[in-house]
Amino acid sequence: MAKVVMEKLNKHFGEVKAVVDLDLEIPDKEFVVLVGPSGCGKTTTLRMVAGLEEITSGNIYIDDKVVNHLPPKDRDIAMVFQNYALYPHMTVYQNMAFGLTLRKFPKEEIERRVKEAAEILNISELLDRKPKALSGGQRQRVLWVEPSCVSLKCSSLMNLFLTWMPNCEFKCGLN
Amino acid sequence: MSERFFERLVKFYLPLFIFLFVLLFPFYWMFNTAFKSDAELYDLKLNPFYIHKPTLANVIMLFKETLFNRWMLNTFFVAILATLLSLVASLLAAYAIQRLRFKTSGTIGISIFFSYLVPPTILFIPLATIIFELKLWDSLWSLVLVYPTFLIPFCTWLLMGYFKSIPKEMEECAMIDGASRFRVFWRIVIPLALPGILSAAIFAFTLSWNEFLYALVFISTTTHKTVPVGLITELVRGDVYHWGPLMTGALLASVPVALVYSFFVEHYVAGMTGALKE
Repeated sequence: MAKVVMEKLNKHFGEVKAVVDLDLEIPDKEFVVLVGPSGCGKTTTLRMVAGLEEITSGNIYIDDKVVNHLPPKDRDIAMVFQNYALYPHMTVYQNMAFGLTLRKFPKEEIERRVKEAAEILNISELLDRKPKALSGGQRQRVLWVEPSCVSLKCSSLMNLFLTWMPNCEFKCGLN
Repeated sequence: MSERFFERLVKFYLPLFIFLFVLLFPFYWMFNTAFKSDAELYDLKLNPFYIHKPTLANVIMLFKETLFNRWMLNTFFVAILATLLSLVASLLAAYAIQRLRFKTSGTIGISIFFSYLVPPTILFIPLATIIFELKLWDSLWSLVLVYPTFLIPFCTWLLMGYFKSIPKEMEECAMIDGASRFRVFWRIVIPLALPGILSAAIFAFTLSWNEFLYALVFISTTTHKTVPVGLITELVRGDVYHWGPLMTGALLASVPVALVYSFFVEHYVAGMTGALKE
């Protein structure tokens, strides 16, 4: 885990000012919720932290390191999207292993971690299926497992519907 | 019951039959002519719609007196290379225009489309100069190089529409998982766009297989000709039309295209509708 700091963060889309002078410090191991009316800049802020959106001005630190221009892959972060977070052309197993494969984990390690995570969330028997063959709840569980497979500095669950809260608490406790 | 059947007949089967007839009649005519002797072909008293005495003379003439095999190989060579070249270029171009969103991406997208609208009958003059300067005159490589000038704009335009249907979140998700832009393109975008890519490939292959004008202008040696040009230039001698071998050639040349189509038809249909359901 890590500390995340935003300093005088600004994001303008042409004339529209989406985020204005945001100062926010999230200490290590903190669980933070951003709340606000739609269009107030929650998503934009998360996307800037993740590196999906260029920042107009200001600074973002992860673990006291400026990450303003670092591409998403080098920020060591995780993010769960509301939709489309499973790749339809890969099986559940491949979906879960994707991040680990990219981070060049050894094969046995990937298998161990994926199986372990699948067991915790009760989806072991679904590993060979494609996302199309899963129910909505099952898909959400796979999404949750994905970031949890990798040890990351920080993770943001963007707009995640926690329809399976009991399981979720169980897992958070484990971590 | 009978009323419903009648309705289906008028609204569905009749139009379908007319459509099929119009589409298939040329093939029937090619087949019909291919296996007739010249004597039968020019005899106006005989019923022209079926073959009285089938003969293989035309097939034998096509293979013995012309370089039909060679032309087929030439056409394959050019069509496959030009298709591959165009696909690589247009995949990268379409992705860049659709996703990288640089300042001039919109303008470039539109100008690529406009370049597709310039007719080959005008374009072949400057292209001829270029081919001549490159010392590729009368070489199959000239066609490999020239065909992408109309294939790339076409494929790029088709693929741009397809990439648009792939949710951006899917790519962003992979980037956060630790993938570079190129990795995302290779592992996520290409597999997801496969139906679109196949449609583009089939179109490109068919267009370059059938291309006539550039092949006619840039190639003059018999051994370097492609099928459409070879048939017309070698089997129409002066004012004598060798209809039999001509039609045999046309029939045989349409086989590979028909095979490619039927092989990919499922993907092809999916590509046309831009189906990505998840």
